[in-house]
Amino acid sequence: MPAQIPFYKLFQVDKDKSEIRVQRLMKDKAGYLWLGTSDGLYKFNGFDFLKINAELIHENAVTALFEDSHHRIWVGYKNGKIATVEDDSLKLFSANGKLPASSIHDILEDHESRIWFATNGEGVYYFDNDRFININSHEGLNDDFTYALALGNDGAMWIGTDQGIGICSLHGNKKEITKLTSADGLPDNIVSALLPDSNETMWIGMQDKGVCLYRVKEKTFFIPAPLQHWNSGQVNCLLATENHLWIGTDNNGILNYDMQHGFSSRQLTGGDNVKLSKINDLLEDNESNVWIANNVQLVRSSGEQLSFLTRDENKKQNGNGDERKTDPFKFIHAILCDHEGNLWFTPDHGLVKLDVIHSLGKQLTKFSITPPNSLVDITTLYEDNYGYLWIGTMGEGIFRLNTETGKVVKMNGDPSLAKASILSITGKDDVLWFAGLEGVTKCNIVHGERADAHLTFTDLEDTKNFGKNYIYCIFIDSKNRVWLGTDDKGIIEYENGKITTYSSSNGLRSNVIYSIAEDHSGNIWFSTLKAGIYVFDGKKFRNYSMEDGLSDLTIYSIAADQYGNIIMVNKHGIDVLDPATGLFTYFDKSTGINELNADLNAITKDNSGNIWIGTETGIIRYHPCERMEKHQPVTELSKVSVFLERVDFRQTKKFNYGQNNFTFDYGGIWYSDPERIQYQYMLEGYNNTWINSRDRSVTYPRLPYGKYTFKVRSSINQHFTNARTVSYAFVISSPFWLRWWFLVLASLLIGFTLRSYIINRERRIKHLDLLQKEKIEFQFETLKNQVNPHFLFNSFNTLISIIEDNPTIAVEYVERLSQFFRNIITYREKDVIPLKEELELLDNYYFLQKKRFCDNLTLHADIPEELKNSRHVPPLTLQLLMENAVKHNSVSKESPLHIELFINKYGKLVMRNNRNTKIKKTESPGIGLQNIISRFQLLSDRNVEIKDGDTFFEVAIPLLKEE
Amino acid sequence: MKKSFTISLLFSLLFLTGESVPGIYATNNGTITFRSEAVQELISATSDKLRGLIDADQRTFAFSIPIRSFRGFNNGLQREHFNENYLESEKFPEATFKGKIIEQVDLRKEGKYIVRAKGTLSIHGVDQERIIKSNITVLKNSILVESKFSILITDHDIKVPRVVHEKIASEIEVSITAAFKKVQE
Repeated sequence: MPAQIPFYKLFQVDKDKSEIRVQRLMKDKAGYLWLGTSDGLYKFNGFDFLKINAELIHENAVTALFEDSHHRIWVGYKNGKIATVEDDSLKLFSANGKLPASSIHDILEDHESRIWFATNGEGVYYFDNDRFININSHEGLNDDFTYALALGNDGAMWIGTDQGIGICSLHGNKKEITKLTSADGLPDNIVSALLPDSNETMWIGMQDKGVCLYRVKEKTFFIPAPLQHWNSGQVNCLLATENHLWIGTDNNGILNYDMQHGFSSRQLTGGDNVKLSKINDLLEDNESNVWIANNVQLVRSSGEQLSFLTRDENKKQNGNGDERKTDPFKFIHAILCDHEGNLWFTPDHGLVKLDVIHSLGKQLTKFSITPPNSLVDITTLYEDNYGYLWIGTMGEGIFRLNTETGKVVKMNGDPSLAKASILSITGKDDVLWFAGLEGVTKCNIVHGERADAHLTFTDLEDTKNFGKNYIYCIFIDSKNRVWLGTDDKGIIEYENGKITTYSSSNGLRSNVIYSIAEDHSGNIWFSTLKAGIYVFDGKKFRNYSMEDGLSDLTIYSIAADQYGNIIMVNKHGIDVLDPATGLFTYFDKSTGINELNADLNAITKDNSGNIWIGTETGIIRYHPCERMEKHQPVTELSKVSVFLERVDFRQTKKFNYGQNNFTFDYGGIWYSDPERIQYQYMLEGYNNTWINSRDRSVTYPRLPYGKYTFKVRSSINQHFTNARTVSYAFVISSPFWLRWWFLVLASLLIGFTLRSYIINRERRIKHLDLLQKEKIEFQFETLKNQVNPHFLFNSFNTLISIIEDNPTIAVEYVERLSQFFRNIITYREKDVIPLKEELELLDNYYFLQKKRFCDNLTLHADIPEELKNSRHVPPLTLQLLMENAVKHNSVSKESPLHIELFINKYGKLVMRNNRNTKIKKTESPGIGLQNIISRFQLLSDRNVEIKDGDTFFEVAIPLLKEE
Repeated sequence: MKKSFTISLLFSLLFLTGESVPGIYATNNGTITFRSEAVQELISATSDKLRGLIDADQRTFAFSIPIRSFRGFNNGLQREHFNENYLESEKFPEATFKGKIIEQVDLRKEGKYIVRAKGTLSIHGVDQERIIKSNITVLKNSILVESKFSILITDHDIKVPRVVHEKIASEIEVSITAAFKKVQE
């Protein structure tokens, strides 16, 4: 007997730990799967199971998982501990109030953001305003052992317990608990699973009585007929997909209840490798796969989308040789769904009718179209307007089956058809078309009464021109055009007696047309041998090939679903195309499909829009889904690293100049077939073109500074235009030497330096000018002084007085005078002269004055010999000072003038004389001394010090070192 | 370990003092049998050392069985493997089951009841919450308990090497029969 099962694929969480039991499944908002296992929490991205480390929690067994509206993931453990996940790491949760100490069975958030916890033995807790609040049997809850939480339509929390359901609503500080127990009609008090349904109904999974539906308004319990007489043990989990209720049981695998039709229940079998016994949890991912946490395996099933109709594995007879002969679900050549929903299909030499919807597994009827032993291959089936089944055969012509009586009649109207091989039958109203190896024939049917139809073949002249080639398929579209798919002549269109041919001469890449279909917008689709598919919009053909995303160029049959998607069957699997977006979805090996080896046009559509495909290994049912956009992977940027060190890219957007080695880790979630994901990434600001890749990581080693946006998107079919792009914008700062503040500072600094240089230079020039001026002034002054008539007059008087007394000295006197004047003239051009020379000059001057004042003038010089050579002074400085001393003081026997010359403790040369102030002051502009001071200011940083005491006058001049 | 110790202590207290405890029933010679029906081999073993307590007033119960007391098996080596490799009876000498009876039945009244016993089943040191259906017959001074259930070896971390997968079933069937006597003064 048949069973309808999804396609399965097995996963192992950790290859080294086969004993890991997956207890809970959860899907987060981004689409990632989370697994609560006996070995802790895992996150699954399609490729790897990432274990979330839990160092602080001394218990590994996760018993509950939930993501709240703030994207916080809550984890409940077997020992009652509660943890949260933030940034892929676990944090032990604690708050005020008494914390649970027994295992957490379920976690749920209510409308007021309170998080509820169902515990095993302590009732429930809820977390509100940083406090844990406990509700147990003492406070009116049915029982302390709780299993499941569900939110009712009115926001009340439904709690499944050992003693029925407690419905708890909180109004401020007041809580109200209503009980729903066996006294109210609940079939079993142990409520182990709850699933809110629309329309104020709640599915209730129980320990012993299976599943029931509670209608809140009517307050009635209802057990669907197929779920009565329950013997599958405790219900562990419930899952609702589009039409099906999936019931995970404790010891009998999964039961599937069709909520749409309301009256069929199927127990899913797992096939050879999948053990479906104890089911811990069920989950539907964003791709409509249903994940099954078996006690020992993690199983991905194709869910409702794609299922496999095959003989019930449980009832497979052992050792019964050739299954080709015994299994009606193998080697299907033709398939048809009639208007009542029965599925007709043809295994080798047979014809089978199966009531799919109403009593799957109960009514499998076999028909014989010819005496039992003659082996006729049925190639095609067609149901006419009157409910008759037309059967095309290989070499045996056409038969017609009265589906009510089961009587089969061979059609003998046209002798040429008696041994014909028919490949395709179609029709409209009372006109039928037969096509096959001998060409095409059209006939009219006249039904007087249903039991015995009259058949008239009209051999139309125009159809003769169709040729005698193979015709694989014949199709009448909504505009009454008849389309023929031929073996060598391409496509033939027949409209109102007019024949048009489209073939390689019109640009088609293949003249072999296998299958034809029309989509809901009236486009006609053709499948070819080795050239993909063509679509004709009434004007021109468009081809889809591998570049467009097709996985195989030879397509045996095509069909269009009610949403406009095109379903294409190839040797290895099924491609589904959404022409509006150009997106492809694939069902192949990764889905669990093995070689299909479907016959040409073994495809049919039922009243609900499901598409059935007959293959060598069984019958596949494809349940179309409305939105194809969801058939794109969700892309996520998972990690950004700078020099291989992870950065928190949600917060950090700015990097320093040196932080220029970037690695981006990203991933697309496509659980159905992760290997198919392709990526495109771009680093805007660096290279503004998309780069294709299959890697999940990219590194940019030496990014210059600037603004960047990293963008990545993923696709399973190379169509990125509709893919959602994930981007991350960041800035690498310019180096400090290019920042504005540095530039401003630097230019200020340069300006300042330049300015001070210029100022300095100006000052130096001024200084030199001044020096020059001073020098000239000094020279002038000195000359003026030296040619002072008094000096000369005095000198001559002195000379006269000594000429007579002592002519030898007079000669010396004149020599000294002459020497003195020569020195003045020699030195006046120089800035500085050695101290020694100045002293010599001073000595000459002293000699001249000494002759005049005799012993009344004395000079006592005490200067170390080494300084005389190494130090310098401006010329005539000392001479001027002595001249001043003589000029400003009276020199007489009563008041002799003593001049001392020595080096003081500061290293300055001091000229000191006692003060014999003249009664009548000598007129003096003071230019001489002032001149000396100025000159020293220009030549040295040390000053000339002048001390004008009561008894002495002294001038200390700094000695200059030669530069 | 701690739990089994508590249960043992409870037992000793009860039997030693011999005081009348209203509604308490006890046994120390209940029969327990397990069967493993694998593809290649059928193994079964029995012990009559099942000890148990039922509080008819509170509808609570406790069972314990020394792992080493099982006899049967197909050969001595098998028994050795059972004790040493699979159940590690040195480390985990006892299996226990204790909890409460879900159904609101009055066990003080004579009659036959089908109840669900809910509790913690501890085997091989691994606890599992279980609900086990049992037939209970209450007589004047005794209670008869009969129950059949199964245990998944994966539930209790019992590791079976791949080579013997064909010889040991993943699901072990267990049956229990025990006559409880009212604890007298």
